Amino acid sequence: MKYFEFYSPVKICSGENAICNIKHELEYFGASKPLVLSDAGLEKVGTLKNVLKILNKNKVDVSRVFYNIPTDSSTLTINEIVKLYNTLGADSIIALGGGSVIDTAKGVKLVLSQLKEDILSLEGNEILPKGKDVPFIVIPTTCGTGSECTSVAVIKNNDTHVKMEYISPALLPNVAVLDPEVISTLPPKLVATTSLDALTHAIEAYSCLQRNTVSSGFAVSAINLISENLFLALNHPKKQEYKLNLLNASTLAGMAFSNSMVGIVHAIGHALGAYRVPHGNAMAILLPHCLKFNQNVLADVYAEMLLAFKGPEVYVNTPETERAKLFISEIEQFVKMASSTTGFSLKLSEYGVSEIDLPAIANIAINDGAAAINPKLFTRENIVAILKECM
Amino acid sequence: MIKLILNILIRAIKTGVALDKTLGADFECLPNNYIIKINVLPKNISVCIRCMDGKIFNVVQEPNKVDLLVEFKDQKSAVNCLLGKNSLATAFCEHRIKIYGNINNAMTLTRIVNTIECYLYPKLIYGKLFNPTPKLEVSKFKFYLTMLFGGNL
Repeated sequence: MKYFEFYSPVKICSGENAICNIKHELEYFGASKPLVLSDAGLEKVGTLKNVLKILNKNKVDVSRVFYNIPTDSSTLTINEIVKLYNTLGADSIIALGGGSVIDTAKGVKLVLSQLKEDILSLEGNEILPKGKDVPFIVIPTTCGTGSECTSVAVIKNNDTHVKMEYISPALLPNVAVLDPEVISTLPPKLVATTSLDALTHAIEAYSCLQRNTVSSGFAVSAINLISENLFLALNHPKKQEYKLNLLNASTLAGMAFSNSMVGIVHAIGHALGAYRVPHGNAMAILLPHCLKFNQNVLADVYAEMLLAFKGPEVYVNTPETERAKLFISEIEQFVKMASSTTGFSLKLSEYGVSEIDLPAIANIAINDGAAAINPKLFTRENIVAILKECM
Repeated sequence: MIKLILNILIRAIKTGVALDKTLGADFECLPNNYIIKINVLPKNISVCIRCMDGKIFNVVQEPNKVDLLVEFKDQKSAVNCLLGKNSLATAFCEHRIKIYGNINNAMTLTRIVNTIECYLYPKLIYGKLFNPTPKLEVSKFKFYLTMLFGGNL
């Protein structure tokens, strides 16, 4: 690429008791009345209550809370929250959750900053001015989406049922709070699948058409951290440092792919989302197959990634021509091990996807925003062939 | 010059959609009565088309509402892209274009333009842009003949 842009203005507060600093972050922006956004799942397991307790202890006004965010961020929910924000007189947003909560909060921030009422009027890519400042703090509760550092939001249109992509620097939060306490109760299966999502972000960010020197640095660090920490975190669930490393890796991967985008794995993965395959699981299933698909175009790039994934010793002891192949096979083993350790299936058929669905999934995937950024052009037939391998 | 290139592109898209079944099927993914505008800044040189019943119509008068606007930030990037030096995907990656409207539909347009560039240019040019190169269902000779003398497509 002859020209690139890299933009990542999000302040990262990472480590023990990071949530305690939120009060000071709000003060910096002159805000004192945040609207806290979360979902029913986090309310049920007590994470929301715990975070509100900590915020309350630190004198943050937590009287405005909305936790009815659905699994898929939607236009209706966003417009409803915008109204609520204005009615309650809030002056900032705190999002506590995974991808859908953060994407919903991004949509709310976008509408508020552009002084609009309807998210649908803002569809597009890099077209919006910065707009009004709406202080926006994100507390991710999984180690996968990296959404706290990305300028992308996927939002479902309630009228057409299509998932729309919004790409704009105006979506970016001001602060990402990475507190291992928040993910201490995350089930091992979710630790594994969300980390594999982050690994996919990093690999695709390092290898897709929009990759650049700066984002590659973040991607390599993320690959290295996930490779070294995923099984430590699964085998020692009480040790917070491993989970914190995975959280950091997820953020690094987010910063990388926000500036270099993702490719075929995400294009197909987003389409599988419409068939209720959880995103992290879809990434784990598709990643090895898509790496093999891209191998003839990306052999050099995959060879480079072997160094980050397996370390210098394996890298130098592998003949140059074998490195790409070894990288793919190591990723395949890594995914299989995560699957057998935590008990999630690597077969799409077990998530309710049947062979007759494949052409329709391919039709959605080919029109995904990530499709054009994959370094190897692909067709509907290629997608169906990959999906068949995953059945 | 830009206006001429844009008009050739539109004529080529019309030809491709009429002759190439894959392109036709791709094109039918776009909603009916869908208006697409390609604009080149800073002089706002543009072409505008309406997609209706699987056919493409030129929109001469500025429409009230455009469904998809692909806007090149500068003339040089537009020329590089439209003359086959860069692909539309590369222009997107290099932040040379802005997209107003549905990104999924923009992807459909990107795929159509990719194939059209392969019809328009020799393999020496498009071979560097795409890997693998899109399949062309009709011969370039037939494509050019229809584009030049095919009347109202």
